Amino acid sequence: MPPTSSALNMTTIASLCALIALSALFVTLLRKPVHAAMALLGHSLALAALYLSLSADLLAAAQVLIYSGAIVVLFIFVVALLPAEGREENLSLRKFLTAGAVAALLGGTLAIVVRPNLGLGLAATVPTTVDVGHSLFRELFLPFELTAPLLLCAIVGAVALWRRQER
Amino acid sequence: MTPISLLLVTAVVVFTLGAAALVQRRNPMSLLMGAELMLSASILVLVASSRVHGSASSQGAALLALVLGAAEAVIGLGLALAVFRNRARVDLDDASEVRR
Amino acid sequence: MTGLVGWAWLLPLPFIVLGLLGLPRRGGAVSFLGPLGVLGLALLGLAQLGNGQGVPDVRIDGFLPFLPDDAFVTHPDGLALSMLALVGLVSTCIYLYALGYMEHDENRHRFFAFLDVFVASMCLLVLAGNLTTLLIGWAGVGLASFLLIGFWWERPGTLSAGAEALAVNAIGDAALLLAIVILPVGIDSFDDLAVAARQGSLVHRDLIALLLIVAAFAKSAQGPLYFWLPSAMAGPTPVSALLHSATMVAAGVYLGVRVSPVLAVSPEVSRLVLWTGLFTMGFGGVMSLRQDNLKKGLAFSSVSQLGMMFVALGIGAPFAAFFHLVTHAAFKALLFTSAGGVIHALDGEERITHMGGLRKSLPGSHGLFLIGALSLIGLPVLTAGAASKDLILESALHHERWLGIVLVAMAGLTGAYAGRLYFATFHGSRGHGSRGPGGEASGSDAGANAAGQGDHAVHAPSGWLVWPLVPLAFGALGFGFLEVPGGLLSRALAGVVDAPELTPVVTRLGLVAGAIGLAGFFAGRLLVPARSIPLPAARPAWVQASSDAFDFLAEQTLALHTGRTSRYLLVTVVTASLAVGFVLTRP
Repeated sequence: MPPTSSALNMTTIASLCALIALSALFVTLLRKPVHAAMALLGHSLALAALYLSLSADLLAAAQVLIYSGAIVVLFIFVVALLPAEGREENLSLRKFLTAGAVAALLGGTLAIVVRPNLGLGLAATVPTTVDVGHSLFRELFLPFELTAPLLLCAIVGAVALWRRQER
Repeated sequence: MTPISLLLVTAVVVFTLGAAALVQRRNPMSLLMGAELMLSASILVLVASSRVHGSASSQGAALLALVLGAAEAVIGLGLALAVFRNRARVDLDDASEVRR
Repeated sequence: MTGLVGWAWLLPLPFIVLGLLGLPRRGGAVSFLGPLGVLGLALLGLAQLGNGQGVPDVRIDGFLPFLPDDAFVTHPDGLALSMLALVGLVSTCIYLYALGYMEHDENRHRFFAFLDVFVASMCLLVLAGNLTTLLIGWAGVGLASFLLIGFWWERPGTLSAGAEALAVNAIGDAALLLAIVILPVGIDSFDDLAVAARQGSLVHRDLIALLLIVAAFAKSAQGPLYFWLPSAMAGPTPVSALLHSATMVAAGVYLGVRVSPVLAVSPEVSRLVLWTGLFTMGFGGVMSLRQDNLKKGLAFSSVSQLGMMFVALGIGAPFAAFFHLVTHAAFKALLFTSAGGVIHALDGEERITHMGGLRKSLPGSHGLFLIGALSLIGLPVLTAGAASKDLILESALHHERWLGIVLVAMAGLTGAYAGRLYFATFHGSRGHGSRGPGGEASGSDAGANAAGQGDHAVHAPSGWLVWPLVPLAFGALGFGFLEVPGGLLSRALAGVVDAPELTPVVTRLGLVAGAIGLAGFFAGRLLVPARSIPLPAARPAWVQASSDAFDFLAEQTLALHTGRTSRYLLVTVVTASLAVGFVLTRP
């Protein structure tokens, strides 16, 4: 059961956050795509648990269903379909250093973005699933409806990509 | 350390790791996973904001972003399959015939 | 008897069943009775209106389970009946023409069944008393258009042309459906809509007007949605004449006339209509000058003329738009069908570079095409096109002085493309353009290969390809007299669309426009394309210079385009971080 009060269990959140960051690190570092995909699965499940402990129930359910259930499984399927398990071959030190530099640059920028917000506290009210539903069908109605054409385009695009190859 | 700052820091770390994967990897699958990491970091920020403002619409937006991630994964994986089904080695930089 | 008028749209349907059964043996031989009956009923209704009596509405309750009562209404008022008569007349002529044109096609039953679907849908669209009913016909004509464009589906390109038409039509259908959804409760007919608009009580006025106009743009190939109409020429010529010039593409204008009260109270949308129409008019004319395909040249002419009707709608002259719709239907159907006669005589050759000098061998088609072309450019007094164009010019000049002047100048463009197509097809000598601009080269080698490479012998035209067009020719010459003098049309439309005060038969503006048009017509002779377009020996200096400049730029930026995704991603991420950091750290 998620906590219904606005008080949050700091230990739970801290350990889940550590788990999330660690699995993200594994996704980045593990060489075999299959292993990276498994790490992504763990990452997504830990995120779902975090959402649950933040009492975002609907989002947690969606995370499990859509992310862990559909997207990550799709990843694993495709990794299995690609030749030679898609093992990476050449990874130079230079490339590694480049990535580190880029990460430092981006992290620094994001730190500037985030820093003024670090002191923010919690609001007294916790949005319930009913509230989320209301917001989806009121102020977010247009974007919500636009997801329909978006998904349709994605499906048509996927089919078209596959068909082109068959000819 | 407040819970919100913890969430924000985690989001920054995950986002940065995703970007690093994007820059460093040559395998299209790993690239897509990096992109997914970046997206999930931004969703985490949306959830944190819903607790800061007590607003339901941030959570709604997070749901919509989730759908966006699904669409992105479908197209990205479709592309990866279409390009690399008939190749022995999976390296995105090999597929630079577009240039010629 | 007049109670039947509202049912006129059912008349073509029995012939569909007949066609499906494979009857009669000579496919489609009796199908023309459907549109002929429509014409008869429309004239009957108009006579009734002329006697000062109304024609009863037809309401079908529970027609479709999900439609509320009173959703399906046909309302034969003056506007609907005039349009219905026009549809009936043009369809009858083209049915008879198609009997000759499709003589050797083994799928003629199917062809005429599709045509019947079209005529039924079009009549429903015209007779509709509210937007819901109109939408049924609107979608029906779109479907018929798709089926008929793709009729010769084995030929390459026809199916994609049909799909293009279907896609653009779907945009229009969706816009119309949205307009119906947004329409406030209680507005159940066009009359309610007009009343609400005039009283200023229409909610979402601008949005509704915009959606309706987008629907009209899609159907009438206006603005960015123009492209499907030239592609639609892949269909058989009778289809191009009936659907894609005279009636179906005019449905957008008809809708615009129907909802003109809403446009009148929505100045922003009116301005959009005006500018889109004006742009499309000029664009269509220029594109027509660049076509080497006879039918595509005429198709762009339709795009251009429809643009002119939208200009009239945009300046609040719906009557002028409708009048031009009527005359345009006659002369453009005539142009297409007589061009079809030429194409049929040349066994399907559509390129004007492979025509020329046909006025001797095809005198009938030649005369009819000439009448259509003169009506298109608006030869004063004699032709119908002049009368209606005159009305639009007058309204434009009255609206804004510059607009009238621009439209008069455009008459020269109209004349030029009409003249170019006419002279390329019927004058000069066979198989090559008579004289290219500057007389470059083609004259000498033309005689040598005129006989060779794929020139078809001209075979004698069948009477079916000429005689059914005579009523259209009379229309192209005489439809002007529907309005000037006498005001027959404006009396028929009284109460639906307000007509301007009567204009005299000939105005000075009309004479000027006609003269410019004629000058353009003869100037068009100079634009007749040479058979083989020779490459210019040396490029002009400025062309060479700009080409060199782009080569230089390409070489300089080539280093950026490695084709390596990882490099692109790196640049993207770094640029994004730097940009965000820059914005945030700025004081």
